[in-house]
Amino acid sequence: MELILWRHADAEDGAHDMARRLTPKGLEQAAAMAKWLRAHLPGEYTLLASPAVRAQQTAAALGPPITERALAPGASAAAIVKAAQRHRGIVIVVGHMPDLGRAAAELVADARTEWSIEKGALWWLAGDAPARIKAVVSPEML
Amino acid sequence: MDLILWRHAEAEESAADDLRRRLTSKGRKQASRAAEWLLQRLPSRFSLISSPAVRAHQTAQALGTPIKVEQSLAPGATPKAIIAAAGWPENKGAVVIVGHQPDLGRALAQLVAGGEGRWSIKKGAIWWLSNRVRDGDAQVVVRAVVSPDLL
Repeated sequence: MELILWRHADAEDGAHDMARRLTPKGLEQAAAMAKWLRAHLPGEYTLLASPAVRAQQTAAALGPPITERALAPGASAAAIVKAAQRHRGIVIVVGHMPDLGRAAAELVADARTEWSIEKGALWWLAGDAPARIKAVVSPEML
Repeated sequence: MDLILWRHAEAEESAADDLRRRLTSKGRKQASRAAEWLLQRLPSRFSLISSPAVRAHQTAQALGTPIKVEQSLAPGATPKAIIAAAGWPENKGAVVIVGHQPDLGRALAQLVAGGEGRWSIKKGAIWWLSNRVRDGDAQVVVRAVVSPDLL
């Protein structure tokens, strides 16, 4: 399996965490990353997203996502992997920190820690644990 | 600081002396694509340090800036030698290290995961790390990982 962990782009502050929207900068970041993904994804993939608005908006830059409640803020590494493993081929998970950083550390290094993933950035992992890091791309480095 | 670990591009298989293996024509293309990507993102001043092996030096040459050849980066370099050559983490600015596998992958496992692993790095691929202090903790951020097939 190939798993792409994609952190939501820059979002507004707000009292209701699940309802926070992307800022104009965040929308640009999501669009730029979606463009990169379209250029490098081979054909078919599954796009999963947290129900939080900022994750939904980030995913929507690429296409309509399947919403997974299990990917909401606070998702465990195990929950992220489980959600992804229900699908074959390339699975893109749009979610949150530190959740995605924990999943990356566990899959790549079997480490119980959280790696830093910048807003809007993606980590492309290949193979079962221990996974290989195929690419890391962030909006600033495009 | 910014630390860029760059594995030499594709090289010829055979040479009597491993250190004299040259890049293939595909390897030269990989090196120039990676160099172009780097030059668009590096600050105007950076250090470029290469293993003495011809395939590493030829890869580094694609950047077109002065190269410091460091004997301790030759094939078989330890993570400690690579980290010392880069001046990580105190060095200010950006340092590009051109070297070999599994040496760079072992240094990465240590820098990013604090572990003993041997991470995979494709020929001609680039890993860009930064360090920062957040909430009093020293953090390593993987800012980019790109390989020639993704450039």
